[in-house]
Amino acid sequence: MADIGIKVVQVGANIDTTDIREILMSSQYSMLKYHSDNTASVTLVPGDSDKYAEISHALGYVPAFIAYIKIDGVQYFINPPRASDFTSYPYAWASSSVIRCGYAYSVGAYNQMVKNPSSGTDYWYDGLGINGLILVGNYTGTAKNGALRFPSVTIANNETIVSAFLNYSVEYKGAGTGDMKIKTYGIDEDNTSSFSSSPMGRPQTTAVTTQDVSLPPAGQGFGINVKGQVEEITTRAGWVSGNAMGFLVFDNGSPLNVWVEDDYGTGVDANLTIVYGSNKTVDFRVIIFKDRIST
Amino acid sequence: MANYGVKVTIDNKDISSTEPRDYVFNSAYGSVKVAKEPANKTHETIDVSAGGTATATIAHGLSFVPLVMLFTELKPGSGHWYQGGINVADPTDISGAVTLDGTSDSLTYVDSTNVKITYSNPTGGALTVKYYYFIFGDNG
Repeated sequence: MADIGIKVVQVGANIDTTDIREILMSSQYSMLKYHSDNTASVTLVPGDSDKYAEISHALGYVPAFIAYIKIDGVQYFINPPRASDFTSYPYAWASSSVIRCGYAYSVGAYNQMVKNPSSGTDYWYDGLGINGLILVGNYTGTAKNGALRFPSVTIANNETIVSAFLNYSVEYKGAGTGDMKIKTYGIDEDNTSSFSSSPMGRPQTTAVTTQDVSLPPAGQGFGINVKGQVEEITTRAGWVSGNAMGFLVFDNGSPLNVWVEDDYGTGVDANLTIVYGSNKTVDFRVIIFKDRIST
Repeated sequence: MANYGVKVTIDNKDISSTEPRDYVFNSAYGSVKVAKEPANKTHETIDVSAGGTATATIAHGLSFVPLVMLFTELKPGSGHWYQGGINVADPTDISGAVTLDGTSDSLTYVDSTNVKITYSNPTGGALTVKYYYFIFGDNG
């Protein structure tokens, strides 16, 4: 092909330059063609693990694009996170009809705290007065009670609690039939200490959860709604983020041999899951080009 | 300097505008030129073995480190083309997707000779990954 076309070079550069950087425009080189400039927002609600917005482009093929994210009211960023050492990340992809921009959590969810007991002394089985496990319910005709403690609860004083669940893992259970009946209190202390002796007489929260539990098979679990207990503890004047929080679980008239046991360090341990705080808006800006990268 | 050159504005914008966004082209401003993209403007592919990595090396023929845009269909067949960089897929695409190698940032880069892109395949089967790039004739 003959050397024909249009070429415009920088001031002072020779029109025959071979340095592409000196060329402002040349019909030898294509340039990305602008299609549209778009903004979108998503609102992360505490507990969300993935939220996204979609922008239609009506091009009928997959276009090139650039997506920017603004979070916490600061700058727009284009770069995604490193592929490790993160728990949340923005993403953006194009299909033949839309650009999807999202924000996701690879671990947990937005404003969700999950804590496990950290040692056997965070478990208490009052039936034998020992650490390392919790057993509650009716065990061979006797009511059994227990306690769980969760250190390093990172909820600020007076934080808004959206939900809170004490998730109890069923490692073993009794052969009786019917629902297990339990009552669960919080330990009404600023920073409850580990269970070197029976914690069952520690101060109780006013909030209590009375629950009939249809026990699932071993290997599964059930949740106890402890929102009120958590609110009561975290609004104590002396509560500080990072303190320990405990719960007392009492049998409340379970049928014969309807009991449940969870041992520390085996299978899945109990956890305290708290969803807290307020919503957060994540803004996206997406520049879409007419240039095709795929059909 | 005399006010000469080439200017083209978008519809309904005056040729005397001082707003760069009003111009389709203006020789007063540099433009980002595509120096290289896949042949026939058709995406390229690379095979990544199960549990393995594969590196695409693209010689760009420029004497400097250029600006690059990269897109990858991280989950083959999804039709979802991710912008990236080191990228992680939408949670709905993670199963069955490759990642750009995250064990070392140095495995995906551009220098004055090549663009190198390393994909990791954490899945149990081989994957053929589609990617598209724009290498621009401007400093990166």
